[in-house]
Order: sequence, then structure tokens, then C-alpha cells
Amino acid sequence: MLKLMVVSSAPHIWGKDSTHTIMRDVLIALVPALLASIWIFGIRTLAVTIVCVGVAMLAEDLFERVTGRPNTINDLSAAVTGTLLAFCLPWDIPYWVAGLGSVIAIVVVKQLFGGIGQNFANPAITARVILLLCGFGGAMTTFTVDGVTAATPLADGAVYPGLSAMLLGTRGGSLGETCTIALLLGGAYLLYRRVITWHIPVTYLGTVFVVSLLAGQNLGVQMFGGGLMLGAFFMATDYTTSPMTDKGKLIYGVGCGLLTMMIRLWGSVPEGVSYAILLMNILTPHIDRVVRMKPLGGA
Amino acid sequence: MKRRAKGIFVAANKNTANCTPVELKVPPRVRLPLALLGTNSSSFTVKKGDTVTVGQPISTYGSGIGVPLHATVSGTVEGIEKLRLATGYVVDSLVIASDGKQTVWEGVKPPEVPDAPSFLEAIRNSGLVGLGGAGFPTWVKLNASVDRLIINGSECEPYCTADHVTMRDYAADLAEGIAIVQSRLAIEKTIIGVKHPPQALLDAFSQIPNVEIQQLREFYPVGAEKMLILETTGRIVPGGKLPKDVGCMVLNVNTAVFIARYLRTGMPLVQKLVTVDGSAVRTPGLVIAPIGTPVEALFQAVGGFVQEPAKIISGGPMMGTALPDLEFPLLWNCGSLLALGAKEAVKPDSTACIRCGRCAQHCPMNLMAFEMTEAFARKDVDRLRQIGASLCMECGCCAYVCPAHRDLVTSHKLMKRFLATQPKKEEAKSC
Repeated sequence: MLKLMVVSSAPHIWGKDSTHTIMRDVLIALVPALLASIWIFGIRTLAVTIVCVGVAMLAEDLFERVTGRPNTINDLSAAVTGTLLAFCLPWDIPYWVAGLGSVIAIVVVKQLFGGIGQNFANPAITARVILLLCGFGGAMTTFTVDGVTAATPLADGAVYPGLSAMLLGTRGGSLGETCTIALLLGGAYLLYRRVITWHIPVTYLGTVFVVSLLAGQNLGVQMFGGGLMLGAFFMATDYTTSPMTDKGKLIYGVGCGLLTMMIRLWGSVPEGVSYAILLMNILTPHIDRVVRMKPLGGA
Repeated sequence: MKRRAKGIFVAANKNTANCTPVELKVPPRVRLPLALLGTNSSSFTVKKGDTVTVGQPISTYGSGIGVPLHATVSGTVEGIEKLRLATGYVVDSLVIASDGKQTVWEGVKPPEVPDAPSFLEAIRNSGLVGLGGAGFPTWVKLNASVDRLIINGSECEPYCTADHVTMRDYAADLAEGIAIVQSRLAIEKTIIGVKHPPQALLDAFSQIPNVEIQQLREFYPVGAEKMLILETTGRIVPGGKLPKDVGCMVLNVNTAVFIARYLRTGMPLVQKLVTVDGSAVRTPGLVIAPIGTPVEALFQAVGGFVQEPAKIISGGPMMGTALPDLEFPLLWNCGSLLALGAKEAVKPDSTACIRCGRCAQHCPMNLMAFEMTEAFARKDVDRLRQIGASLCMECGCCAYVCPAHRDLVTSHKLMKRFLATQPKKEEAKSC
């Protein structure tokens, strides 16, 4: 009897990247910022992160079991969402609020819209915004560093902590957003591994830089004083909620930058990164519809 | 903005680039299916019990562009059987039992080609189809008026080395083939596109005017016809048009070499130079074998297998077709045979699209695969036409880079077939 071979459509070889390796790379890129955060705010940041990641993965697992969807725990996307959510919470957030945030991110924002690849907005950012608007605002924007209450350097009347504090991250802020150096390191890793392209971070950061310059703002505060670095490299670059084409990404990055600065300069809240990215997330399907690639030899 | 060809980087795996081809012992039996473009309406002109000799025509032209097939061994016709091709179509296949003598048909002699029509007729009678892989009848391609002849020596598919070895060992034949086509068709300039030109090739062409060797950038699919034209001439073939519409003709290295040899000897297309490689193969090598030989014989010729083969590919790993079994015959357009072990045979499972956009970033045709798949799922004909879905050349870049391992090429193949069956807008309105 003739042995039958495996028959499938070409191609017969595949790249090494998978959703799992991409998410793993994002987690690796977040490690420097996590270590910096432990150094700056103490070991409780690690506990908050573990709670967020644990609850996120558990929520994903349970939801998929209940609804009979394929289990996606192994693709690590829930772990990324959990880590990113933790990074935009203060280090002393009550654990139950952090856990609640993870449930909102995974169940409400991600799974109810169809799971990975289907969510219209970044789960971590949306969860953070919902927590803010649900009355946890006080707990989420009061930061203490070394026992002293410190507002984010972007708040009205905040004391400028100096450029070196901004780069090292020893300032008020969410637990993962403050150490610019660690975040840049992570961003560079993502670029090197080609997980992200330069389009969104460069246009986002560039727009904030130019607008700050034109508006006569303190560049150090605007660039390094809020969640911009975390947002530009890790949040705005989320595949599902950012445009697919390079040109679309440029528009999206500029949009994020302009909205961030509009909120910071004229809005009622000191920081605009989350809201800016969320708004651009919502515009993403429209950008993808309008910005076309011209097929080679096509009309 | 000037457009540049783009694609992906794949490991070249040119393990056999320094090998010397071995000639296969005549197989006891060959099978010659009506598998070529245009031959599906051909019929065999020999019947069971007939004696055939090497180079003897065995089938009719068939429809408009078809070419005749030729006996590749001498011996006796055993009959006609059905063969299921990788495309799913079942075609007639002539089985010849070889007598081992390889007696040459008395009609094999250099063709007399005083003018253009007789030249095309001779090429048609030689049974020549594009040897780069697509297998398009060469006489149809040659029936054009162009100003650039582009010789495709890129071999951008991993493993494949048949063109490289031909350029290395038979550069003089290539020069002769180019000269014939150039003078016959009054083409002013020839460009040989090659990634790593062998020294012998450079030497052979150093004194020849109007032929330029262009070193190609290292990416896949730089050898795809439209990419190669863009890389070498900067011209873009519009959708639905042919290279000749932008004044270009692309011929594979071995196709050009065949033309030279055929005009010299009159021996039709009866054998192939094939790269034999893959993880299941003991010692990768190159084999010259009669067309129709069961592929297993070619694997045995290089020392057989080191592990149980689980997948056999005719062609390269990016665009080749998976063969159903080791008995399958070597076909005219096959330039390489790969045997893969169980580990590499099965694709990782598809997961959900994460909308990373890599498929679009790497598409040489600048198509947006994720959109095509969505539109196809809705059977949205207008949308598919609008986004140029039928421009897809199935090169596989999108599927290769997809981190969710989605079956994009499969989907695109079905999509193109579906689109071809849909009435055009005007027709739809009138009925």
C-alpha cells in the first residue's frame, strides 16, 4: 500500500513568530520598567502586578470555559493586558480595585467583543479609564513617593522634580510609567525584535514634542512627566486597536500626540495619554478604511 | 514616490549550490499526464501496445496555447490511466514501460527555422514550457514584441539550485539561447537577474554587448515575474496585463538554455535538472531525470531518506505543491523536489487574527490580506474587485509572516477561483 503524504496548500514553511512569541517579547520588554518600579516604589508594585496578571489570566480562562471558546491563555495576551493595567495604576492601589480592573479589561473590553483581535479599544487603558471614572479617581491619581504625597509632575502647581528624577522615574506617577530609561529600553527591544515599527512611537512622541515646544511648555515635564513613554511604546502600539498600514499608523500617532496635548493644555485633567489613545482606538477602523495601500499595478 | 519591490527574508538553504548533477538510471516506467497549461483538452496520439522512442510526440496540441508532449523513454505504451493532480483535477496519463535503451526517435533533428512563424512553431513542437515553475507555454510568450529580455536566474525559492548550477556549468549555452531570442525577436537589451552570479557566468558574458548581469537584492519573491521586472527595469505591469504590455519578456535560465540546445539538436523537452533536498533527504543533490519518472527514484538517486518523509513538495517550499505520494511523476515544470520530515510537514494551528498588519506590510503586490479574507468571508464581490484581490500571485509572504498562522494563501486561491466565476458588472446588469 502506497504511503500517503501530508498534502496542504503552499507555503510549506512558516516564520518563527506567533502570537505567543510576540506577547512574550512584550512581557520581556516590560521587565526593565517593572524592576525600576520595584526599586522606586517598593515591592508592593510587584504584588499589584501579580494580582493584575493573575486575575486577568483567570478571568480569561474562566470566561472562555463558560462560553466554550478556544482557550487563549497560552498566547500570553492576558498577561500583557494585566501587566499594562498594573503599570498605569498607583503602587498603593487596593488589591481588589486592581483585580476589578483586570476583570473589566478582560471580560468587558476584550472578551465581550469577541476576544483577542476583536476588541475596539485597548483593554488596559479602557479599564484604567473606567476605574478613574467610577470613583476610584482619588486613589488613582494621588501618588506617594518615599512616604510623601506627590502629584504627577503634569498636575497644576506640581513641583518640577528635575530632569534626572524624570529619567530615573523617582517622581509621582503610576507604578510603571515613571522610569523613562527603563521604558525606552523596553521600546528599543520591541523595535529590535520587530514587534512594533517606529511609526507610532516616533510620530506620537514627535507631535508631543513639537506642540510642547510651540506652546512654550517645559519639555522635560511633557515628554517624561506623565504616561507618554509607556503609552507611546506599549499602549498605542497595540496591534488590534491601531491601524494596520504604515501610513495609517503615522496619522494615528500624530492624532494621539495632538489629543494628548489638547487634554493636557486645555482639559480638566492633568494627564491625557489614556484618553488620547482611547479616542484614537475608536478612530482606528475609520483610519483603516480611508488609508489604502495602492496595489502594485492596481487601479 | 518610486515603488520598490518588497517581500520577506527566508533562509536560502542552497545546500546543493556546489553539487554536480547526477544522471538518473532510466526508470522502468514513466507516467506522462496531460497536466500542462492548455493540454487539458489534448488527447494521446499513441495507444496501448505502441512502441515509442525518446522525443516522439505522443499527444495533440489541445486548445489554443497547448503544446504536444513527448515520450521521455523508449519502450512500450502500457495504457492510459487517470491521475489526480495537486490541483484536484483528474487527467489522463500515459504509462510507458521503458526498454532501457533510450532509443531516440528518428524525427529528432535540428528544426529548420528560417522565419519568425517557423521559429515559434518549432518551439511549440519542442513542448517547451516555462521551466521556472509556472509552466506557461514558451511559444506563446515568445510571440511578442518587446525591448527588454529579462533572464530569471534569481531562484528566490529556498533550496532550488537548478538555475544556479546551469549558469555555473552551461553559461555558453545560456549565451547562445539569449542570442537566439534576442536576434529572433529584435530585442535591444537583455538583463540577467541573479542574486549571486557564478564566476563562470560573469566570464561568459564579459565580452557580450547588450547583455547586462544585474545582481538582485536578497529577498523573496524577487524572482516573481512582476517583481523581477520592477527590480530590473523599474516598470510596473498593470493588473490583468502581461509583461509584454510593458515591453518585457521574462525567461527562466533553463528555458533559455533549452532553446539553444533544441535548435542545435532538435531534442524536445524530455528531461529535467532537479534539485533534491529537504530535511528527510540523506545527501541533498541534483538529478537529471526523464520527465514522468516516479519522484521516489530521484530521492533514491541521492541516497534515499534519513527519516520517514511525511511531505513531498514539487517546487520550492514557498509556492510548490505537495504531492500525494512518492509514485507521483516528475512533471515538466518541476525544478526541485523536497522531502520533509513529520515535524515540518504540518503547519501550526491557526489562531485568531490579531490585526498586526504584517500580511499587508510584506505583500509584494501591496495587497491587504486581512481585508481580502474578511471580504471573501462575506462573498463581497464588489469589495474584492475594488481592493484588487485577483492581483494576488499566491507567493505566500503573508502566510509566512502571519503570527496567527492563518491559511491566507488557501483563502486567496479559493477567492481568485470564486472571483473568476463571478459575472462582470456590465454582464450582471444586462441579465
